[in-house]
Amino acid sequence: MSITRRDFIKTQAALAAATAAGTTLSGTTDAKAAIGDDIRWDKGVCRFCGTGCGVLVGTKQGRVVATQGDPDAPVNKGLNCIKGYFLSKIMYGQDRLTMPLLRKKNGVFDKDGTFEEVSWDEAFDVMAAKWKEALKKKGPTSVGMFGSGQWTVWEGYAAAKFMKAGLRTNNIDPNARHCMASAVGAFMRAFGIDEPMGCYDDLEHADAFVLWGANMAEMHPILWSRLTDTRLTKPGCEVHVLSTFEHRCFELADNDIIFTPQSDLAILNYIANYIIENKAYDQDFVEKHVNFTKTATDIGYGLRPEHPLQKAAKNPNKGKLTKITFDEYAASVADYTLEKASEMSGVPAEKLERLAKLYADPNKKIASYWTMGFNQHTRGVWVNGLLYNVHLLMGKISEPGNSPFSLTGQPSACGTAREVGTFAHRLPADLVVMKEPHRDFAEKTWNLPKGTIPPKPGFHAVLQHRMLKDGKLNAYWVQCTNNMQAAPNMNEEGYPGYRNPDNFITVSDPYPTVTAMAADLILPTAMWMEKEGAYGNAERRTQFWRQQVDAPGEAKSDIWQVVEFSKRFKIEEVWPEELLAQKPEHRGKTVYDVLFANGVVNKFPVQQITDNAGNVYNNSESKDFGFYLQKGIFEEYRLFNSAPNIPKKGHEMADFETYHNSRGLRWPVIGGKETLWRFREGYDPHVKSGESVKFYGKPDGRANIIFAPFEPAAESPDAEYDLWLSTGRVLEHWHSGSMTRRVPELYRAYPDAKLYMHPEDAKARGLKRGQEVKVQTRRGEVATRVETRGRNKVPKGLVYMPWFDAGQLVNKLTLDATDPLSKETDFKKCACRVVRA
Amino acid sequence: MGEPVSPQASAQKTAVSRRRFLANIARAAGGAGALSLVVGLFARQAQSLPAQALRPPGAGNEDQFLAACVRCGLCVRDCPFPTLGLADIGEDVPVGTPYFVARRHPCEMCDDIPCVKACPTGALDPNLTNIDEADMGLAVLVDEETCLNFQGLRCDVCHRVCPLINEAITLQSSHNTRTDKHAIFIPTVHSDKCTGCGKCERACVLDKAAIRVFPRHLAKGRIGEHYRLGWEEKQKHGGESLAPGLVDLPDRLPSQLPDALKGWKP
Amino acid sequence: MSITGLVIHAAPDRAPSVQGALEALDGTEVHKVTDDGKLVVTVDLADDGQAAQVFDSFRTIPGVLSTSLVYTHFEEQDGEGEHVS
Repeated sequence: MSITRRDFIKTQAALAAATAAGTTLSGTTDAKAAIGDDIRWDKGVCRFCGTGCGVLVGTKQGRVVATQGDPDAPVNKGLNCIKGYFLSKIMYGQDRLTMPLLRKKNGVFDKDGTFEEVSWDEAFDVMAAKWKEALKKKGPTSVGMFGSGQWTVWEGYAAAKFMKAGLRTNNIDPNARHCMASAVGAFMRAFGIDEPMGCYDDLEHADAFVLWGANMAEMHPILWSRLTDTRLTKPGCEVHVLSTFEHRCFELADNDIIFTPQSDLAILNYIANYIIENKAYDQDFVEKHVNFTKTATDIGYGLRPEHPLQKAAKNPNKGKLTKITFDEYAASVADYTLEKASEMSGVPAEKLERLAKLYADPNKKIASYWTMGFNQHTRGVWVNGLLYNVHLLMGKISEPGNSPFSLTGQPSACGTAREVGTFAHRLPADLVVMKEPHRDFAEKTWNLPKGTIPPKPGFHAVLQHRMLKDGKLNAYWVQCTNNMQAAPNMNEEGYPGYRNPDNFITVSDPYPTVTAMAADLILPTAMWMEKEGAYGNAERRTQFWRQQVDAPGEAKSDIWQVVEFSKRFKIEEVWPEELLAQKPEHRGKTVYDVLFANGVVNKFPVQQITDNAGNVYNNSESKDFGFYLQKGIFEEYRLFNSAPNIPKKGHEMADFETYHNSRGLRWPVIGGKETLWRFREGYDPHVKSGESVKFYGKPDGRANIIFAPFEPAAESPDAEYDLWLSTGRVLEHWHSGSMTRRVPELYRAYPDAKLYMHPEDAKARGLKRGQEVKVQTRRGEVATRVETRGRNKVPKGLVYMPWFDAGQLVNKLTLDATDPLSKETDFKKCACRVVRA
Repeated sequence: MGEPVSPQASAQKTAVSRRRFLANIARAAGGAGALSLVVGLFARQAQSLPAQALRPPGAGNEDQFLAACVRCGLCVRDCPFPTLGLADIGEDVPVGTPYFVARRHPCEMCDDIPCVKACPTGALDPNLTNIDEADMGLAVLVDEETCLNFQGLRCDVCHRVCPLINEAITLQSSHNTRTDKHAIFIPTVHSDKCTGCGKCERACVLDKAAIRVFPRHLAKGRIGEHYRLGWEEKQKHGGESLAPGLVDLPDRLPSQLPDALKGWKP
Repeated sequence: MSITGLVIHAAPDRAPSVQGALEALDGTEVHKVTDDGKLVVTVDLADDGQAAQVFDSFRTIPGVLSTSLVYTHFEEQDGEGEHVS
């Protein structure tokens, strides 16, 4: 209850009484004025999904009191989903962390102690000692970091630079590994450059939409609203929806397809086969712009090497592509007849044929969308690629309306996790650590000795948990994500890893999440509008915001924490003599001096930050470090994507100030213009006149069609565990619910997770709707309630459970089988059984 | 916002404190004018069931229910959720009778309807064996001006929590003329399917719910007997006109339709 | 929280002393006193139990002729109260 509101009510009470008394009141403020609208509005971007809705943030007396959809934002035109409606409440949960918390017994750190408030100094002293101890004992591979597609652009960049260049470890990976890694892998294999070629405008340009494992109606609500509008207003427009269960998108489906898990691989090969058999493919396009290849097969399931499935694989983790001819490709897909695809998928033949005909129709512009159904898949890179095959065969790509489009789940999965190089194998702007010229370029740009950046990829997300458990990764820092709740197989890998007595775990978060509570040190973190930020959404749109309010208590932003922590390391403590000898000027300096006070990042002095209306904004980091940190980082990052000598073109960005003055720009931004469709002449400045289409990420300018066969899932239902378990999200809650579950109204709208089950499956087990049950897998069990009605209608043999609920940790159940190429977990498929509680 | 004294209260708990409060004022104020004002309110409140008080499944007509209900409380005892409660002295609901308030605890629509099974007198109709046929009330989207979906936002929480999703509440989509590229999804209640369970009112994220459940007699309109909807009557008639055998003469048109008439239907 | 608007009618000549007595009470504010002895009053209290005591004490103020309740607003403190923010 705010004072203002109380005053407002009192004013009304007094006015009513005065009226009854037949008098008027002077000196009482008018009721409207009492609630006042002296709110400062500034542009921002929604904190939640990868749609990237523009919002206006209303601040009053140092507090965000209101938000609104920005009516002029091109993505959402003033609209928000129900999470966006509650943005102003996410920073004000009652259990915000405001002081560092360290596990202590008798006044000193103890892994088995209880959390006590400590100063930042004490927190960093203990943490730095633990990190140095690990570095000394076992070297750079014993320290690691887990980051986020919710980091701002500069936070991800600073963290990657600190780990890869400062501490010389590639053990940094973002939570986008659980979310987008398969999409990244497929982009690189097919096009040699990351991120979609199209943009959201395809939602209006397409004649037909196909959803492959994407529940846009709930997970990308505003984009779904655009898609629906096109379906309603464009004559002949149709929507095809594929999923392993019926969800909210099926309401709009002209062709609804429920397929057996994993059989999407067969369906896509059938469509390619149909296109070839009917000679519907675009021969000219295929001849000029495409190479045909096949990928190594029988590649295992990304499990621990001693796992029987891993041992049984002929080519574990192999992604080698072999060039083949068109005829060889045609022969490979020829096995996937309509009958076979229908049998494998359980989908009626006429529905599959209708879908194939749609893709094969040269007069239909098609936008295909996918999210976790494709990406969280033990053959995720393959299945992404199989869809590109279909679009490439038809030449339906890189032009308005023809758009295979990978949607993202996090607000900056693209902008941060992917673009600035926070993956264990990546460097900024699509460079990778495995390639010497890329390392050389990064080292030169950062003024580091040759050989600073290790050439071997670091531990990816799932491997980090395994290495923690095995005691090989000992000093670990998690920022801006709730990975204990999010990562698979918590019982066997994540939790034992965190609690391994050899390890020291730090978690930075605004709230005491499941992950934070499993840590040894919790760092209170500034969030969203409490810091200057930038996110990059799914359509390559980079959006900036200013710091609107100060963080509560001692909470500090992730970038502050990384940069400040880097002061704790002398360069001699982290680099060997042969590196120092190359750059003797770095001797005696700290990692901070070398990485951040390097003349580039600290180039811009503290400046007064104002908007066009003249309002003045704080910048806590500028105040603490004495230079405009965010600007310096961004301009250094631009040396990777926009300088003339860069190794990989195509990610060009505008300068820092331009973004603060725009509603977001889609890269490449060249000559003051955004790029809406890449690889096509006239739209993309990298394609020269007369080239028409050029996939310039590849040296020969050709995209790869990659044949990959059907291979089974890692774990399928059997006699003992007789149901498929699929996990996912609901509209009301975002990811692990650490923000949305702290909004009372959203909590009320969807309080607790439940298990969606077919009514006949429930009946067969003697279960009634609403009854408490245990869901069991080979890895653990979770108590929940059965739901046989409602928003998701699962087929017999499959159950679905959302993962937002910290009280029902569904990842105790999931298997840590990953795509061997992308290392992304398949959260959609494992075997479970359901019994009475 | 602030509200004048009225017999309506947003939740039972508030209603209880308000009653106590009014009683206190009556005692305290002493002035004859104020006392009569307050007593008048009491009298009006007692006359009918408040709009937000809903009866358990199978209760049917209120007079018949009150006649048959022996105030035993067994339905409340057997309700596995905190939904049902018994009216207390001083509440707006007849003392000892079971009811629920949707915004507080909606009916969870148990498959086996334990409250009906528990009823010893048939006040809750024992013939109700399919909870989908219950009629506890009817959801009404009472405020289009605050409902977020009417503004084009993607809330539709009421739709997704509906146990009879896509039957009792559907989303009717239309073009958002303001943005010109989004759809508007209007939650639409279908009275033949809505059981009045109250899940939608409970879940509505607004500070005050824009969708509410009322006893059906308060919620439902009725078209006059003197008028019929032509298209519905035709459908009931098997798609045949009620005035059969009429002819329409063909329209004279050029053999090659001009562009302006492409797609035109007479 | 309970906020109430009242009109308290006092004998005109005793209105100033009634005003003084009212203003001495917790949460009670007098917004206006009319010439004919009507006082526009709000009572703002944490809970209605307290409110009852306050109203009780109005009775005992010398010069008070009648008390009329005009406006009430209640909220459960931890309930689904409305918020401006």
